[in-house]
Amino acid sequence: MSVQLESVSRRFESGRTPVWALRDVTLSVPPGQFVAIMGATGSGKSTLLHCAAGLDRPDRGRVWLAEREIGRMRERRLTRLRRDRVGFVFQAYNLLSELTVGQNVLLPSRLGGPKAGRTDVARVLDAVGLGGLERRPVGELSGGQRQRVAVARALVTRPAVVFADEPTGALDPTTGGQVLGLLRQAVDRDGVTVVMVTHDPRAASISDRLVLLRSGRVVVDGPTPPDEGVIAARLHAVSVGAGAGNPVADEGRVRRAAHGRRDADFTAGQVVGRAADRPVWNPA
Amino acid sequence: MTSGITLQALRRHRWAFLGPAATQTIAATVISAAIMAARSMDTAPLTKPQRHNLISPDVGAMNGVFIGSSVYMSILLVGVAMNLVISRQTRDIALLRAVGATPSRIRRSAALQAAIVALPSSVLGYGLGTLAGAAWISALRSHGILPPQVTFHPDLLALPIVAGIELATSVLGSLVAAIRPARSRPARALTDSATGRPRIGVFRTLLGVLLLAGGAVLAGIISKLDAKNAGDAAFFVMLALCVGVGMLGPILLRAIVGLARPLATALGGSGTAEIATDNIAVLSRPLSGALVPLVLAIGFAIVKVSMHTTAAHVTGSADAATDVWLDYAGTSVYCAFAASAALNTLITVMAGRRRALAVTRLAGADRRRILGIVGVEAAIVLGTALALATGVGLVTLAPMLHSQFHTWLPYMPLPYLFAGILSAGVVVVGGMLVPAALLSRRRPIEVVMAVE
Repeated sequence: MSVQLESVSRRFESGRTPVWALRDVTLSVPPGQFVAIMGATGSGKSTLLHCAAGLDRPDRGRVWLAEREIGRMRERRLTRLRRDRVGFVFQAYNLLSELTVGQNVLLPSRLGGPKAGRTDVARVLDAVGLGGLERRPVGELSGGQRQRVAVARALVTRPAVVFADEPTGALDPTTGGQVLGLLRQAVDRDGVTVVMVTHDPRAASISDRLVLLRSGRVVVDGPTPPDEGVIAARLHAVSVGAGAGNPVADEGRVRRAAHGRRDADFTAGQVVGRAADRPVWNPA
Repeated sequence: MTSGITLQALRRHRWAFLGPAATQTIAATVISAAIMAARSMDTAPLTKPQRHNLISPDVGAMNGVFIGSSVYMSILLVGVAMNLVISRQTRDIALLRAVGATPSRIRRSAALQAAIVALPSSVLGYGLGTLAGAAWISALRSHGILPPQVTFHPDLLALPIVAGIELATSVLGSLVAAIRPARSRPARALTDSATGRPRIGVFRTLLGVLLLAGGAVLAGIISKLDAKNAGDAAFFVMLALCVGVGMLGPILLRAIVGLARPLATALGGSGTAEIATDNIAVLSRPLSGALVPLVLAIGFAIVKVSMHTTAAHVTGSADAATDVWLDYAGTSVYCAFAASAALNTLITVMAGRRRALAVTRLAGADRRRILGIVGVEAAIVLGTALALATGVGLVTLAPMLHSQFHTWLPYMPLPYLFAGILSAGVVVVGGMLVPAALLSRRRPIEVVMAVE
């Protein structure tokens, strides 16, 4: 298994009451599979991704990443494992915008990861459609170009697993489609495992397997329906049936507990949350 | 409305204002202590011969020099510190401009922020200055430089003088920093702040070259003056050179990065060195704000110490112990002042890199690697500061050495040299490595999600 979670739970303290962002989640992802993780805001998608990728540690349960159990692994060894075997793509790109495209793509290798030289950089930039832009500062690129740099950085070390957190969240449908195509290509051609968190049924429709979360639990796990309308309907059904609490309020509490955010951000989160409650695809 | 923008900026950048506030407090302490000590000596109940004795070892003249140079240093350091804080608000300013703030409103807000920092710092510094002044007078008495009749008296007159100097320099420093972001079109400012790659202005380069050339020419002129006047004028040579270094800092740092890269690669392993040198190039402008006080402190120490050591070396006899003590005591006050300004600036620069360090960790760096990268950066900053300070010191010293001892080069004993390098190293490590270690304690994903 490339990624395996066994009875994983993760709790955040919010004031006096703990908030369970993940409850008893078990999930196995074999090599070369493209998994989409969906759920309403606050359902625990990002927490699941962070725990699976070793960016965060669960309170209970065990996690294997690239055949290694990471629960008791020291931070230093865990960082090396991530550096050598894992790639990341985030909604907010997380590039060093002052540096050039080439410098960003070379970063994992320069940090001691698998060796990558100028030819590797040129190859991977060609693959994401940014050939010849090595020396351009990232700050001068458009959002879609930045996300393709992030994909290039994730793929340059030929990782076993790529984790993507809302990779198309900040992109228009066309540019988003290009980025998703690159991830699909990595799975089909290079046998990379991709675990992607997304809100977007269209993005999810290119995956092999769909996992739906509600209130920190896996409620649906199976092959991805080919029709994005069906995906959207399932997501909607799961979100509306959230029952226990208002998922929007949960989102705010989880985020605040996890990242020490201020009330102002909480309010902003509510607004985004409300918008996200409505179906995000065009039913027509 | 202006005060609304200002308060928002003060709240949002709360910690960034600590640096300039600390620098201004120390500046106010030094200036008010110098003024009050001088006033206490003037008003002491002394007989004519006693007063004559007091003047003869140059205590009176020294008071004047002390006040004068602490004022000049404050202007420089306070201006630099405030400038850096406002420069960090470029993105906020662009957003405010986009929603309709006029350039003059932005400038007023920047000036108001500077004033809000300057006034409490002046009052606090005045309070600390009374303590420092009393300690200074009693130290002079115990070294037999002052007679026991001279006692310290706090003097309220120092407060408006100090507050006026601080207010003017703080406001000036922030206004200079606000010129470009206040004037530029909002869309341009937003992309610029996102790019972050500093452009080096023609005006800045020209001014830097003029200051360096002017300092060197002035040094040439004063080498023909008599020893006493040469010594007094040398301070201005030094100031001109230090400001020139600050103006050319970004260019100098990038040039040194070009030279240091092969060396650093050989020493630190290629990846670490490559990342560190790339970072220095990106950070060259804010880092040059730290170079000014560092070069000032190291250069000042080189000049003061090597005047005495060269005198002893050339003439074979040491200067009077009290003279040496007086000079070294004054020098350590200036150096401590400049070192604290350098420390503040470096910490401010590092605090602004929290997200970038977290992103580097997400890309696969562990904490040790982060410290390695920042360590190479610190070595480059230290090496640059030492090289520039040596240059500034030698140019400043040459005319004085020539007019007094007919030599162009100073004599510096090795223990002094090592002590100086070590002290500078402590400042740079404390300002860069310690903050990096503290900033990389949280999980990188938490930092990346919480900042934004």
